[in-house]
Amino acid sequence: MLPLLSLILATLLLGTVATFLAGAKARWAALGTSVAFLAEVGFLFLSYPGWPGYNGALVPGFSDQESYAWIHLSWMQVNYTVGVDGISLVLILLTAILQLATVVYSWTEAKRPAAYFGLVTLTCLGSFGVFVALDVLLFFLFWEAVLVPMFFLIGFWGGPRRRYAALKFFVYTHVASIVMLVGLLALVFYSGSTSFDFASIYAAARGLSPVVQVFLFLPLLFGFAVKFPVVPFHTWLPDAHVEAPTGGSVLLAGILLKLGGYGLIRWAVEVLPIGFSHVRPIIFFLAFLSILWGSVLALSQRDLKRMVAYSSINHMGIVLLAIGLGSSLGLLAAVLLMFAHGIVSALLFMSAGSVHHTFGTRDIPAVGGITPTTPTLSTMMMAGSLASLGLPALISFPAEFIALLATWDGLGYLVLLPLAVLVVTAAFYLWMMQRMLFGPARGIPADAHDIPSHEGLAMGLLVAMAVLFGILPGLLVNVIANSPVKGFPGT
Amino acid sequence: MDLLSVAAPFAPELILLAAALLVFLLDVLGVRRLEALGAIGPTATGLAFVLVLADLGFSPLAGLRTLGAGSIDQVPGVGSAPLYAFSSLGLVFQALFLVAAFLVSLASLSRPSRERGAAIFFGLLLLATLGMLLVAIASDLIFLLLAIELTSISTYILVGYTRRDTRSLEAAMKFYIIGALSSTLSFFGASLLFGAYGSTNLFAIRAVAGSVGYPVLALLGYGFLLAGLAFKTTLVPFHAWAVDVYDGAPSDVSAFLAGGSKKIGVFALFLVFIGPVLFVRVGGGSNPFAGAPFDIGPVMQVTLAAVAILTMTVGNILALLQREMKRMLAYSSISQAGYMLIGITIGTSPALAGATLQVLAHVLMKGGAFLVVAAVAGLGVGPLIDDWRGLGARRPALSVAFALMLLSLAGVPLTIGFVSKFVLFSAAVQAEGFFVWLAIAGLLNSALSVFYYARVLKTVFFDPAPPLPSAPTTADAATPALRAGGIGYARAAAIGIIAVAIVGLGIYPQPVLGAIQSAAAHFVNVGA
Amino acid sequence: MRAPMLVLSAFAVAGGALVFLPCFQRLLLFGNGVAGIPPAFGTTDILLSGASVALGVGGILLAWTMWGRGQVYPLPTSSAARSVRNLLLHRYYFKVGYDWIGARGVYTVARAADFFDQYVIDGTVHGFERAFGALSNRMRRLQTGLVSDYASYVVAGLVALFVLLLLVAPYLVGRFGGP
Repeated sequence: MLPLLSLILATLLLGTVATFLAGAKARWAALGTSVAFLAEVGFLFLSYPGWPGYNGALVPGFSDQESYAWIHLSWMQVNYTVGVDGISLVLILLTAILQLATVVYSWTEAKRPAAYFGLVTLTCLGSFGVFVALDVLLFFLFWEAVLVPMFFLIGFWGGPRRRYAALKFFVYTHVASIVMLVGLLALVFYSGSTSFDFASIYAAARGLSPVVQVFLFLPLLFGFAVKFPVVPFHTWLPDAHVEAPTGGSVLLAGILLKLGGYGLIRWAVEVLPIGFSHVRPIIFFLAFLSILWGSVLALSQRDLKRMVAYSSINHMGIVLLAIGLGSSLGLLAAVLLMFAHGIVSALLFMSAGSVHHTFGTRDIPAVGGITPTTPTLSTMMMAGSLASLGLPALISFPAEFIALLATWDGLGYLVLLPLAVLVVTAAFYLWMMQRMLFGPARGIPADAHDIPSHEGLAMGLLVAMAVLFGILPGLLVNVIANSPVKGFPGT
Repeated sequence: MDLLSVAAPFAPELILLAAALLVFLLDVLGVRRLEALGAIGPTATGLAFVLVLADLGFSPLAGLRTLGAGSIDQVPGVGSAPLYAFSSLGLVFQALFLVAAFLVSLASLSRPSRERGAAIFFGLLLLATLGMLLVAIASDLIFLLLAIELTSISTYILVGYTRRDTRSLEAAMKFYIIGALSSTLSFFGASLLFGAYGSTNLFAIRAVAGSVGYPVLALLGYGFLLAGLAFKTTLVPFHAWAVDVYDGAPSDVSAFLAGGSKKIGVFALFLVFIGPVLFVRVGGGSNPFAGAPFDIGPVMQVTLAAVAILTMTVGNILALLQREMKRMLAYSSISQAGYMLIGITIGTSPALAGATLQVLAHVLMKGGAFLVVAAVAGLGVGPLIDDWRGLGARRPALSVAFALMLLSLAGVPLTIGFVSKFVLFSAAVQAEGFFVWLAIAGLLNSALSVFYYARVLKTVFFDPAPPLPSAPTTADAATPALRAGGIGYARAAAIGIIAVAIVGLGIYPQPVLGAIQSAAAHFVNVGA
Repeated sequence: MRAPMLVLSAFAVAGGALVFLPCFQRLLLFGNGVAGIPPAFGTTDILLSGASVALGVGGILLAWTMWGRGQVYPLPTSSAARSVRNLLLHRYYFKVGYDWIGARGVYTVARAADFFDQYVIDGTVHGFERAFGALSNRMRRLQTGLVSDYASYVVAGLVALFVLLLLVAPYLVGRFGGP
């Protein structure tokens, strides 16, 4: 039995160190690391029960589990425990795809490339760690490990207000992580489990009374909600996204937001099902609030990147809604939505970055009719926008459809709210497309030319993923649905 | 009983005493070279450290054991009132004190060879360490306070040992005056406790504590004693001296103060409050003025909790706006004392283990930080944080070591600072109830502290170097005075050891953690 | 222009007539009909379809009689039909409505949301920041450098400690029980 997960971690770790030390050749080191990572993840998929072609029996619990003792005292045992199931596997695939795409997109980064690519790889390492960690301390370690590289990425390579945005990002998410840590520690000790292992906590938490479960659920919800982000804890996101460099935004929107969703599913809902069911009304309220808030604010933005940022809040609100439903269909929708949003928002942020490079501005009213000048960019942008508004045959459609179906199952006519907001989403993307891509030419500098090939390649990769999984969502659905998710209510 | 068997358990203490006397003797005989006098320091402390480790049961050193296993962690029989008692936790603290002394004396070897006052420095360092070792084995209040006095007086002089720097002389005076005031309070408290309990022996007090006749008298006694010990431990509002003293003293002395002398206050608090106070429950009423029976424990816990939260918060808030490096480190040290006090407040063995681990981490982090400050001052960098700009490019290895120390102070994972805070706050949550609020306060303070550490890191690594040197360049630039980049091999070695330990223990703390936890468990059972 | 229109209308009629073909019906219908009779042939459906067809044809005939032979009707300015004409010319004011909802309505809500984001949520955080900064500044002044001040802090601390130990803590323990 190959310790595949530790192998992947080691690959990423060595790759990060090599990238930092590689100087001018750093981009090659980063590229090599991403390709190796993607290959290993592919291998993980192929040997995972649930993937088409797998003929073995379903393994109960997590697969590829490894556990080594780390800190052992009479009153607290902390282990290095890792494992995957269908949910984490899909998100790991997302991480690998986005790492490769980011490295390729940022190929010509000139300002301290070694540090830049190193931080990108480090961020992906941290995210991977979060998705596979099955021990509280390990989870928290990787969770925090993602904050520092992103802080530097925003603060050093970002836009005009980068210092403020980076600090804001760090403060908000760090405080939330601390509340989450208190919640996790309380979960461990109040449930009577001395081990920090997921399995041990899961078993011990069954015996907690509903009141205690609710009290333990709330700090966890807060900690994950800030990462989602959920209104009213979302104000760090627009600033962080707008000021971050394109690669940073891609990672931030594509992967970091999903950490919140994953954390909520794995460490809050799975472990405290009774507490979750009592807190559901709050979750629904917050979800609907985020959906509305994000879409309304997105419609009124002039800055392209800010618009996509607010639409991220909107999409993650739907994710929260799907999780809140507490059904297996909702869980499936949530994971699919997270995957879809990761790919699509990455694509859109890359487009925004390219627009900025080529035309010098991200202001939607200022630039128009760019298609004849930059056909590749225009195509990619259109693909991204159509994907984001849920066009069938692109990846968001199956995800959103299942989400709406699950909402109808769970909440009945309240599904009209997200449905109405879908119209608003379509509105702002179509409006943006109509202004920027089509229509009369406006604000195009004389020397504007189409995007460089590496940017096109990166975006093309993402479009290919969007189409692939839009037409064959079953590939992912099988993995998620067949994963023996422990005790999710309704499964 | 022959002399050897009586003296053998005290071998570490005797080694230090002999070494100190040797240093003074050599000074009288005219040996003035720093290398000669200084070599005694690391040798003696290293030797003593090895002996203490052997006594703790570290198996490769079993042959050097001078304390039989049966003489550690014993409760003395009824009627006997020994002045000293060996406990595993005490031995752990002895090891920590010796580590601090070793590192500081090692680093101090990298100073100008003809420096005046070298004998005073090394001799007093050794005497102060001796006092610390005695604190760790004390079981009688007067013995404890006298040992603290030995350390304190040595450190008062140490702060001003250069005799020519006005700032350090002023710091020494302040230290002495406030210190004298505080020891007055401690001794007065001890006398009140004698009045309340009829004995100054901590074991005896614990035995009698359940039936204390005059709770108000006992409370007054503990109050005065706490005030005196709080001076040593730099708890708020008895902390004001620490800022000026850490700032004014030569940085190596500050390293010793932060790394060593503060910890004797912590252990003294362990001794006085854990056994006799926190664990004695007689189910009394809640009004001390109503006479016996009365539980001092809960009242003391509430008070200590308040002091702990105040200390952490004040230290962190005041560190936020500091612009001088040493003052910022001083305030950060003050807030760290608050974390240690949390462990004492809770009093369970996991909490004590967490506090001890925090002490270990602090010795490394803060001691190391001040050693780096001394190194950097030797390179001609001024006292302001802004003067450190661009150091990351000029001295990458030193800056990385310093960064590790700051990251550890901030509680970044994979450092010993993180592990110690994690264990401490886990212990707080494990104790449930109102202690969870202590954990929350501690964690929020940790979050707050990240700011000023991050600001220093930003200055060192990301700000461009100032165009002109901030202070007159030293002779380094003209002549290659010291090797290893102008810091000196010994100091570089000490800083290197600390940096490696910070990360190494952060990644694999189990051996040290296991030893500390079992020592803490014994301590809680035995009580003194 | 006429030929394509003729072709299209022929297809439209033919397509509508398709619904009467049984084989096509089976493709369309998946609900339960009344014993073998497909639902499309229910009375309500025939009535409704017939009504809408009649309205359509009637409208065509009316229009043909009014304008079919090249006549143009100028509408007098004070005619009652004027408002109807305006309604039709402005496409039932749908576009104006959309602009109101979208441009005015949504935008106003967005402005309010943005204000809330910036001044209430972020404002709270910035408020904390300012408070901490101010507190830090005030407290920094306490570090005067005079030993006599430090000694008085020690005495003040001692007094506070006693108040805590003898009065506050026993009261709290009595009220809430020990930790």
